[in-house]
Amino acid sequence: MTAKRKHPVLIVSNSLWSGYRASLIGYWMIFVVVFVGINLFLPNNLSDQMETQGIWAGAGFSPKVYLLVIGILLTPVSMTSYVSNGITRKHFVGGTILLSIPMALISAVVMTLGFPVEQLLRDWVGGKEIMANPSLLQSGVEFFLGFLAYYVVGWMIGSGFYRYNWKAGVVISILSLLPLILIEAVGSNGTMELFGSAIAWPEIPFIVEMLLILFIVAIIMAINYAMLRKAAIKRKLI
Amino acid sequence: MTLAIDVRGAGVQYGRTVAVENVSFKLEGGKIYGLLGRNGSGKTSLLSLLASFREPTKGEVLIDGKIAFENAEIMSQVCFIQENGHMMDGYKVKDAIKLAASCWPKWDEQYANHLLDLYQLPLKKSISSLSRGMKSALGVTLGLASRAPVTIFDEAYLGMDAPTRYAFYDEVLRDYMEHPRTFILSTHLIEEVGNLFEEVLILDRGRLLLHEESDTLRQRGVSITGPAERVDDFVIGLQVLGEQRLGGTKSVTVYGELNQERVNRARTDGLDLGPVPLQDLFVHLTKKGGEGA
Repeated sequence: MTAKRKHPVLIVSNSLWSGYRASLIGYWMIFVVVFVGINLFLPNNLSDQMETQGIWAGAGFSPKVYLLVIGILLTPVSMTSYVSNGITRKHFVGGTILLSIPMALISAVVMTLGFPVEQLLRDWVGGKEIMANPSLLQSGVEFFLGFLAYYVVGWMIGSGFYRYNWKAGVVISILSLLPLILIEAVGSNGTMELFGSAIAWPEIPFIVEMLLILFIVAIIMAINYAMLRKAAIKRKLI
Repeated sequence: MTLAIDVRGAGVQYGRTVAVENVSFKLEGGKIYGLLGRNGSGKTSLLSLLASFREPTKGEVLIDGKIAFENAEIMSQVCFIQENGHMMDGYKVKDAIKLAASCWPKWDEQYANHLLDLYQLPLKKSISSLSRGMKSALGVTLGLASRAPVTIFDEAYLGMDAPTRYAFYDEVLRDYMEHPRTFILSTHLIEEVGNLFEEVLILDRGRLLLHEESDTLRQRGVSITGPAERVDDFVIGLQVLGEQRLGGTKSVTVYGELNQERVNRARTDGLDLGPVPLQDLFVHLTKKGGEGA
């Protein structure tokens, strides 16, 4: 009659994962097809920078935006359903954090593997050797934390609109640029491009960089929980 | 399994608007309760407190002796259904059933399948494409199959056609008999569902006007019909809720139990005494301007 109930955090994360995995897979399939297409069919029309740095090195922004959008949707689309099915807000927050791990990890793995794949494609098609040759482990960690950060910032924007009125939501959206700028600055290691101008940033060891990003991510997660833990359930926001 | 509900001085405020004010009551559980009130009386706000959809602005809500808000043990035992059960519109019916099955500890899959067949719900259709009546049927399916010890339906059967609504009332009664638990039904369709209620709570302008056993409440209303002059004479000193006149005949509804002496007098005066439908009592008690109460 009734099966043993899983922990509510796992119920939320499993259910969200089953809802979003198709979108994640679809996104990356399109992304990879476009990338392979560019490498196979346009190798002679690439700019010098693209020739030497590779296309993949500059492709990391799109998945960040994708995860930002997924994050924005999470609370307004899903929280009402879970709470009305007897899940606490705390467990919803837990499930959402848990979901962030496969979303960011899969994206980071694909992004990281893209570098050697791009080099193989170049070798096969006969293009120039790509000069940028990042450490895969280092790139993987950097991508993972970067994607995680965009996901939680998006989640904070969505939670802001859910918890408060639209005006407060707009203010939170604008304020959410701050952690993003900070994360990009920390990750840029030296100089950061912002609104067309280069801003100098002291070089810091990689491990410190990553710990700083993790710290920012943890703070944003805490802000999300603080916003949602007493949020009134709304019938429908989207 | 029954859970007692204890609402102590609860209030809900939206900005400057007071939706629920200083409401206190105790429900021992294991009964079918009717929550009645006019539009804007605070029914949904009050039920939202029971379901932990919001925290009371004032006072507290205890279920099984524990503060209900954000209490995982309590929230997993209180199912609050409004229309489609708050499921995401992008979900298919089967997704909603799957989510509910994973969330409610006492979920009865066999019963859910029975209800899906009864209401002819298409599993592969998305919720957004369902008619309003179908959405309501889905909500009702989720609520009943959850077998939650406290199951609350807030106008969940709006949009259903009459045969479907009566099928729902039958299901509530049958399921209640087979699996005793607490049902709270909030409705405007009092005539249809009134016979199910064991206790009735009436809210009016955010305040609890009345909480009584429905049989006791029904006994408190009496309609007195007969020649106008005799009826007017008879009702002196009684709380008159309403009156109707047709020619020389008058029918007056009074609130309050008649003692044996009054009953005998009515017989002597040739007056007819009759019961008052719950809906009429409700209408009279909640008349605008406050004369009802």
